[in-house]
Amino acid sequence: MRIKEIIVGGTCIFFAVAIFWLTYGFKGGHYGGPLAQSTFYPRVISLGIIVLSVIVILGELLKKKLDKGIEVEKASSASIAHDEQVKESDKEREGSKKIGVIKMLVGALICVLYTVFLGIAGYALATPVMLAIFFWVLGVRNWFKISGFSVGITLAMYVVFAKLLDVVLPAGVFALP
Amino acid sequence: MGGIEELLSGLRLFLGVKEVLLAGVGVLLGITIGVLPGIGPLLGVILLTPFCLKLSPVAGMSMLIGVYVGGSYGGAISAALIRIPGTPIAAATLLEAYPMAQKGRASEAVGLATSASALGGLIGGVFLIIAAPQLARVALKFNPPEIFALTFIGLTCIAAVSKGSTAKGLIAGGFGLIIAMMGTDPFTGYDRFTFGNPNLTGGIRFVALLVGLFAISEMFIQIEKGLKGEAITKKLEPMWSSLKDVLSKPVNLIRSSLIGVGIGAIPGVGAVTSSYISYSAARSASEHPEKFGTGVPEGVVATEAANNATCGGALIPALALGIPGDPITAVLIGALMLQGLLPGPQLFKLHIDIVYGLFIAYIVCNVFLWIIGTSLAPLWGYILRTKKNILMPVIILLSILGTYAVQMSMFDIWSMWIFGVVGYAMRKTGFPLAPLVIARILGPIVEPAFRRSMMFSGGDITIFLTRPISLVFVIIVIIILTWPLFKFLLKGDLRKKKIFSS
Repeated sequence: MRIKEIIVGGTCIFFAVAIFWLTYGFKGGHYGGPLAQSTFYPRVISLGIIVLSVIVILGELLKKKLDKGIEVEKASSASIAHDEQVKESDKEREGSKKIGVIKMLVGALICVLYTVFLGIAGYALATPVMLAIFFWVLGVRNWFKISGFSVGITLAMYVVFAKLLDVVLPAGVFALP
Repeated sequence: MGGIEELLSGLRLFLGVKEVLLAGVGVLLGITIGVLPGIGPLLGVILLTPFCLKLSPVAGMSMLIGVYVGGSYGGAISAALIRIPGTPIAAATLLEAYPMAQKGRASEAVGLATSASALGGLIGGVFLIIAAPQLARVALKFNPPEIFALTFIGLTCIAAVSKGSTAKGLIAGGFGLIIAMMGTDPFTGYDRFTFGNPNLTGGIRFVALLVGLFAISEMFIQIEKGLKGEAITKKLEPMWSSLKDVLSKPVNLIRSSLIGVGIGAIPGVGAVTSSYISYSAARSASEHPEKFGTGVPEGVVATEAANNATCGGALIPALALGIPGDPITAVLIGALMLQGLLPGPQLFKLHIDIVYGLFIAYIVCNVFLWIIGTSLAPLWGYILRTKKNILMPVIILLSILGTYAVQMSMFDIWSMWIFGVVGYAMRKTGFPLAPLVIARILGPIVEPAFRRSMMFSGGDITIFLTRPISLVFVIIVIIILTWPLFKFLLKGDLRKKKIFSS
């Protein structure tokens, strides 16, 4: 947990420094004094983010020192049998967590590929394929349901967006509606 | 500002077939969304925001307010039936509604929740109509220093009461202010943080940011956690008599509603807090407090009246000052801005008819809540059976198309994915999302107010301290910012004492 907080704090500091550096490229007038310029406000905010990030890092370090005493007390009173039980359920939790992360990453990949192919193949082709793959990844195994929902939802969304809201959906290279 | 004439002008705008129909549709969608655990009214309002752009302001906002009101209530149904609140707002309702359902009184529990929500919301609406114009009248006298200090209170409040540490909330707010700066500088006309990309000249599209940050990240987290359905065995019946039951104990209803309105008007506190406080107050005031937790109807009324009254309370600073009380009102403000209307005192000055149209929409939505919530009670159990593995891809597709529909731009979809990743990373590392969104909304108000104040004072920053109203606001900001530090030092002191004494 300590490493994670340090990385998080460090990342925020990195972005804040980048923002501060980018303000040197701002163009603009010089009326109203230095505090009214376009550079002052973002610089103050980025400095504020840096200070707050340092507080986050220091807070985590200080919290760890105070918690150490309580942790030592807890560890000495734990029984061995309880430890074994905890280890087993931890393993199970880790396993299902990994599956969840893989499903999430696959889902994210499907979404990105859909966005790429939306412009190429068009809404009418890309969408039912995306939906079908997504349903399958999320555990739907009935092919009748998969195809029915994929086509049905594609049509329903087309009616809502293209017909009711007059949104021109991507037609792709095949120029499908 | 405020009166019969204005009320009639609002009525003229609202009483169209489209407006009334959309208010009803919004309430129905809101209840449906609220019933399903993991979705929530915030997601519903976000997904429907792009639709508003194709409608008139009152029609579009009626639909969104309907979703807000319906969604705030809908969570009580799943809380009663499956012991999982559909939204965090209904967490306190679960304490009495579920035990009631276990005793075979599920329909009564849901009926009480429906009537209490509607009546609490109506009481909140009365306060909205009375208080908002008065607050806007006061705010009209504010100049840039007061506007800057006031919006800064909104930002710090949200950061201070967000989940996770205050420092992380403020960091999220800081990045939100930076994102708000992307695009053309309103004073100089030059671009900032656009990296030479013409798509960024207008800044990051608000809908893309919102959908990515909340909807996409939530879908990824839901998929990661695993999507399990729920087995529902109880069937609900419409309980029209619940209205009489709620009105027969007016003290509980009025007290809970007042708590809801009061807390809703404070930025950052929200309906979850108001419902728990109202529950505690009802238990303290009860003749049999020991029975609370076993299925006491007063408990259901207290929580639901409070959490729906909070909606009305939250709309008071949102409409009158342009300061959102929670993420949902932030989205509502964003939706108004997308339609070219800036919430705040100027809205009351220039578009008082639209303001009163929204007031009436809010009142009517609560009436619809009671009618639709009661008459369609048997439907809600069926909706809870909807499989999440079918729902999630549909919501993702709706997110993509909704984002695309705003400007028909693929760039917006890519922005949405980027903010989806950002939102996911923020949630995993304990950063609250609300401050970033609220800062993005308030950013275009805060920065110009600050720069105008500096121009006005010739660069003298003490202007915020020399003007009395601004000074009061600055003191409030300092208290909000330093309070967590006192809490931390106190906590550390107590821990040291515990370690040394053991």
